[in-house]
Amino acid sequence: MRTLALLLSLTLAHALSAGNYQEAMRQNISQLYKVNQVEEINAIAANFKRIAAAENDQWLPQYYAAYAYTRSCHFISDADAIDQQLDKAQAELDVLFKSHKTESELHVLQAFIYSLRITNPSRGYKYSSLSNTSLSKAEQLNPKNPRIYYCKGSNVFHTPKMFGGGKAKAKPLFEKASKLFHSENDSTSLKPHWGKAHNRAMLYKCLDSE
Amino acid sequence: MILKQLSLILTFLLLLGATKAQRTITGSVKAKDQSPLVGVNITIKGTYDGSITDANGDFEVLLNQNNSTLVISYIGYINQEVELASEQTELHIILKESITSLNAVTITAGTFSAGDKKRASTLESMDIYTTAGSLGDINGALKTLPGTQPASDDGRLLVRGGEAAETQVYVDGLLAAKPYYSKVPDLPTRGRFSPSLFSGTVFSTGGYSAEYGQALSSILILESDDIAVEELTSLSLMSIGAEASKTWCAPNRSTSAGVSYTNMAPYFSMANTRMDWIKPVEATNLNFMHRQKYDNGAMFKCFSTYDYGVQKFNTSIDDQITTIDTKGGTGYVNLTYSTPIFNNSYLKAGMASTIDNVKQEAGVHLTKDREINIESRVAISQPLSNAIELKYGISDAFTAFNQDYTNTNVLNQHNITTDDHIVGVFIEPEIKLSADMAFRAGLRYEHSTYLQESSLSPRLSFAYKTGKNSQITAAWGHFFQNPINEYTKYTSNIDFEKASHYLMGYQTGNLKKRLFRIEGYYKDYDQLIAYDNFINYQYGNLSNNGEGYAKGIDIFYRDKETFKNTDFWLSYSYIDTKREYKDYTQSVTPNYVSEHTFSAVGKYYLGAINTQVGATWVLASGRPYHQAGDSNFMSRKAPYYNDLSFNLSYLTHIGDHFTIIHFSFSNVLGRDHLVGYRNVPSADGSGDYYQMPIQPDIKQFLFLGVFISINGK
Repeated sequence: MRTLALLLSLTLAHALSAGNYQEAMRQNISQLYKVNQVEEINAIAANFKRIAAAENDQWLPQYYAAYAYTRSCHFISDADAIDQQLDKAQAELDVLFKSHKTESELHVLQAFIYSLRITNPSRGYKYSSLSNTSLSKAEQLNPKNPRIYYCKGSNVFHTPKMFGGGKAKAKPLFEKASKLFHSENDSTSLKPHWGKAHNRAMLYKCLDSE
Repeated sequence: MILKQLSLILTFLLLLGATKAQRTITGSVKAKDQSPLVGVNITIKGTYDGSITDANGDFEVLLNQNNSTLVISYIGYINQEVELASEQTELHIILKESITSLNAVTITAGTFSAGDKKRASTLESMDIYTTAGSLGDINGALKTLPGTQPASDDGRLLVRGGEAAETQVYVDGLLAAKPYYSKVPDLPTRGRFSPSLFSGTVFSTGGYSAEYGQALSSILILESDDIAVEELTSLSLMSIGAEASKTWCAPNRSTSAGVSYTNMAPYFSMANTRMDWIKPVEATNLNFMHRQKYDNGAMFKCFSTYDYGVQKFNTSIDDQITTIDTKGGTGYVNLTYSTPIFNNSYLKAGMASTIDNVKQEAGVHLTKDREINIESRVAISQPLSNAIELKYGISDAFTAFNQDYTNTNVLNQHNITTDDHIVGVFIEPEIKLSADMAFRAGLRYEHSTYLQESSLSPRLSFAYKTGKNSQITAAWGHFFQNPINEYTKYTSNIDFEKASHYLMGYQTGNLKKRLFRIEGYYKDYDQLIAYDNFINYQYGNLSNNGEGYAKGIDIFYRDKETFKNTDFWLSYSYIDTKREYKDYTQSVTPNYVSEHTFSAVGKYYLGAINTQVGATWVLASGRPYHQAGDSNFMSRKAPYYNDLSFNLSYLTHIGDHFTIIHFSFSNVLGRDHLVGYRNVPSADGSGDYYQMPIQPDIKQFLFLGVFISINGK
């Protein structure tokens, strides 16, 4: 009897490995937060793209592909390589915008991509304007999205004090994000939840050396 | 019993084991030109599993025995599905580029475009503001592009040998009949529209789409800003005036209103002006915009601007002083509505109206001009397939012109009124033969009710991608235009003026790093207005017998990469053009054309002090001019033109508000800028002519402005 049960569970596991959406997404999302090599991230992004191709009515797989490419930029220092990864992220996001333009997370990711384009000061004005415009759109769609204020805070933090930026201005934005991150606590959801840890780190930076 | 169960289980296990038998497929994915494609997705059909190609375009994928189909996909390319043979372990694929790919060919013949959403654009939307010497005038920045004449005495766009009237300006696809302030003799004019109201520009120097007509040389399309998402108040304080504007927004809609006041008097009182000013330019402007987006994706835009200005100065010829006094106002309202309709098609409808009222007193001549222009358009873009997009539409441009002229000396008077409907119909398919090759073929029909003439213009443009970022372009077309008011007010017994364009060019690179563009053109002008003389308010022998040609090469190079934090572009134009029209006695190069023009525009960002500095250098060969009495017409040449301008933008903040302090200095080298001479008949009636030098009013113009953004960035 025990052997039969074991066999059944083996066959069940086999059945699960091909095509369980929730499980596949969860595994890839958790893997994404563990790796820091661009090649590995690209492979995970490709996993998400395959899931997206198989699950036409879901926006999350393609979103995570775009997010993965965006996230990879944290581990790259070469400006051209950053542009290349962001181009891939933008391509995925552009397709998503066609069918889901009222989803606030897409606009936040767009804002994030724009701000990462600032690899040298001459790009500062153009892309920070575009980034803030996207964040305003995201806020109109869902003012409770903590990532909006985390990104806004990041933009302000990196804007020179000369043009109304700096730590003091960024702090209240990170604080607002912190409160909203706290109430966003559904660990079973596949929805984006990135930014919480880094937001806390940025908040400490603002409290530091004040 | 147990034995039977066990054997069943064993067979089941064996079968299970058998399905777990795997094979490895290795292979590569390349593009048509054999270059490896990196990051191509190989999916085992029906699963989430697969692999991606590495830096060499190679891949390795693990297949179960009962999986045999692979799906190969890569953004911008056409997917392929491959059914593997039972023993196959190797697979080499060539992917074809998709015509819907963002990297697919776009037709750019004869066109310079700016804007964040534009593919193959050559300018950034900020370029207009930051180009030194442009003084915030859109035309000023465009004049540093090849194909345009510096024409410092004019201020308008003169393109590839054409006069200013041969270039038409459109806002959101609808005609802006009076894009410049009134042009008075000896003073350059400037554009009416503030560059801050626009987010995109398309400047076509020839061969433009069948959607537009009535422009012999070129068209400039200004695209007004989209819906604003941030409430913003802006304040500008300048050495020549002030401006204030506010934007209100709500989800899916935004409204802006602005007001500006310009007065040159304080500055002129300090500067050294050649003209004898009684009242330097004083003008006010009001603008209002509203955008609204609807749930179905439709968008309504309202753009309007109103201005009123006055100026008065004395000119002296031979000790005879003449006072020129101009007062006038213009109102412009532009409404557009675009909406998606059946079958992925788009409908755009719009109406633009210009009302212009100018009163000018030049000595004894008193002229009052009133003009109303209303243009309505409906156009539909309909994709017939992935490869074919059809555009068609109809337009009507109504113009009513009224002129009251009085000669206070001889008490002569006349009043002229004309009105005209120019009806246009066009159809233009754009066909992508592949991801590398596209062409556009259009036909435009126009009819003028005043001239009682019709025209049919064929247009063709073509683009072929020779590499990832390069393409060859070509265009051809016929262009017709009504002669200007100045002639049509006397008679309707004349015909459209006509031009045929032939262009061919090559472009390579992209805006992020380096862009190079070269274009050669030949234009044939026909049916140009010609006359013998102008006596007693009559043009003697007014006809369409004028003709001409223009040919040349335009070269453009833009570089953001070679020097750190530096963005620069170089333009060179060579033009060989001759006309025998108006009262010309021979076929000669007109007096507004320089044979060689070279412009260099540079911008450098000094991060440490938050300042951007810019410089523009324009060199142009001397323009022809005619000295009355010469037997050879238009045979003299003015000195060459050499102008260096400089500007500086310092980014800072006043209180909490983002501020830009802008300073510009034109003609740093202090050159005289003598571009020609005007023959003015001597007042003593002796039949002699006085050679009046054409020089700028102010030799070197200094400008200072502070631009503040309140409550936002």
